[in-house]
Amino acid sequence: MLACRGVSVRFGGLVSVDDFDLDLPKRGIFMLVGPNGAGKTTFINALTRLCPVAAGSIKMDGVEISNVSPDQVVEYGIARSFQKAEVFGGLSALDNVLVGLHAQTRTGLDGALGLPTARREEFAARERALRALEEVGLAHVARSRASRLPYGYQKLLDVARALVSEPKLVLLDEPFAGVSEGEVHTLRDCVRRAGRERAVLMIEHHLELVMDLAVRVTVLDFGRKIAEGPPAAIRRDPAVIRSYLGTRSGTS
Amino acid sequence: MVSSAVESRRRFSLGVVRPTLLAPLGIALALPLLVRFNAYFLGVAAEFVIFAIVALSLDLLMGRSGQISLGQSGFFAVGAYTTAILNARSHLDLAVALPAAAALAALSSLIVGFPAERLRGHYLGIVTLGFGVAVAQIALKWSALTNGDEGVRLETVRLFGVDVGAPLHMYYVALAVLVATIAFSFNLARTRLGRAFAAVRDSEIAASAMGVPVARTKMLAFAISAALAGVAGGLLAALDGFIAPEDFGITQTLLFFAMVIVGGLDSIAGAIGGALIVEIVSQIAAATNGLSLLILGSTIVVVALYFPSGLKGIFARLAPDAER
Repeated sequence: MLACRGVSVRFGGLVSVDDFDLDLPKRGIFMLVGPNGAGKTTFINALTRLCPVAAGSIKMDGVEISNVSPDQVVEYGIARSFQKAEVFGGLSALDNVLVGLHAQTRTGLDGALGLPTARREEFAARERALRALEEVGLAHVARSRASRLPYGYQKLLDVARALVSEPKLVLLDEPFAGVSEGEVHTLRDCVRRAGRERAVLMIEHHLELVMDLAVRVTVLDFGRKIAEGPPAAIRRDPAVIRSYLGTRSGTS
Repeated sequence: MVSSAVESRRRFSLGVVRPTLLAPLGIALALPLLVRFNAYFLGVAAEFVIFAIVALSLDLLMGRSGQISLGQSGFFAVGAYTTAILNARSHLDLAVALPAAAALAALSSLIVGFPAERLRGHYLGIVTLGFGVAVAQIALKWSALTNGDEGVRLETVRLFGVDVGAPLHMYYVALAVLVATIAFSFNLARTRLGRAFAAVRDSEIAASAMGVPVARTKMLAFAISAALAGVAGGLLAALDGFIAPEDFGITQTLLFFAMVIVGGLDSIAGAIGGALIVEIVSQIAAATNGLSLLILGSTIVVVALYFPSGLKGIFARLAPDAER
């Protein structure tokens, strides 16, 4: 479904992602791991067109998307969450998730005029958004202003907003970072359900989560792919142990 | 969790008329009786209603979509001149002139809307300020169209063929437009487009990741805001029966700005309350000749220091459960 070939991202002279290939099928949870600064977030930013692709091709269902504008990416069925929850602080939790349906709804000024067609679309969208909030266990704060929610809730909200459009591919940038003990369980179930219906590409540092959720792990270091395979094999890979897992593999 | 969905449907339903809104509306409708049809008070009241429309237009832009405008008097002026000139030269009915005022003001907003795509904060403030000043200068210098500093005098003002030139009539016409603007802003904030404005305000990268075209959305916010301010300008021309460039100077633009700041950003009730306070303070200040701007300036300083979220913050403290 997603096919990336030789993707490179450069900032000035610095090569952040170097000649990177990645293929994702329609379903499953895929992990992107690697030390800080390995280019994981940069790759996701390149996929969602937030930073320019210097070389290579990114194809979604055979269509080249490395040159579309950032707001068009979602129309190819790609949605994302952010490493540092990028919620719309002044909007309620429910409204945040509703923005996630922007590309799938049409209401414009007819909404401000309160016309019946707009109302119908609005009510349908609100029910979808509420269901997405329930998925991550945030239905009880639907009306709260996002900026007043605890950080962990904002991270969950970011995930709900990415999932509400039922994308073919959802990119989750460290969704578990900052989420409190109690909510990790809910989020883990949510990610697992998502992986059964769509492709989930996730950046994660927590080894236990990686081992538990991933069907395939891709390891990045200095912008290059150094290993790829099922989690158990990756864990034993000497190159991975040397550059990334190192001492931590013994303790976890 | 079906019940929560049903409940949310009821709670969030659009265009609801709440009892709390009926009291101010009742007072507004009965106001001419209360002031015994005093033409001076009716004129002041109509002016307040018109300024409240501008305050709402500016709040839509600054509060909702997070774009500063120090040039709202420019859009206001374009609407006023459009209406006045169409009336004086072509004897056009308000039913035609006001939509034309809205359209022309919206068109003029593209001049600022284009750079607004790339400019934000202080820089956008400067560009919009320049726009406001430029419009007033054009009104002054392009005398073939605007009569320069002599201004434009309107002939009989008609709406759907009926003479509505009297302050009493214009008060009700403006009030109807204000009520429509309130409903418009209320519904906008609760539907897709209004959410997109707020999304662009709060995080441009997240908004674009959700499929919101940032540049186009910002320009649309400018156009809608300008159209509303343009209609208000048309109403002022009809109310006063005469307009001149000095009606649209930098002081006017700062007054509009003050209304929104005093009211608190992104709040319909705040914008209207802010317009009311600024109007009352300027009327008191006008009576104390020469001190008007000093009094108004002090009011703004006090609000900024002690009530940074304006009337909106005070409303929120009085009724913590009510949203907005």
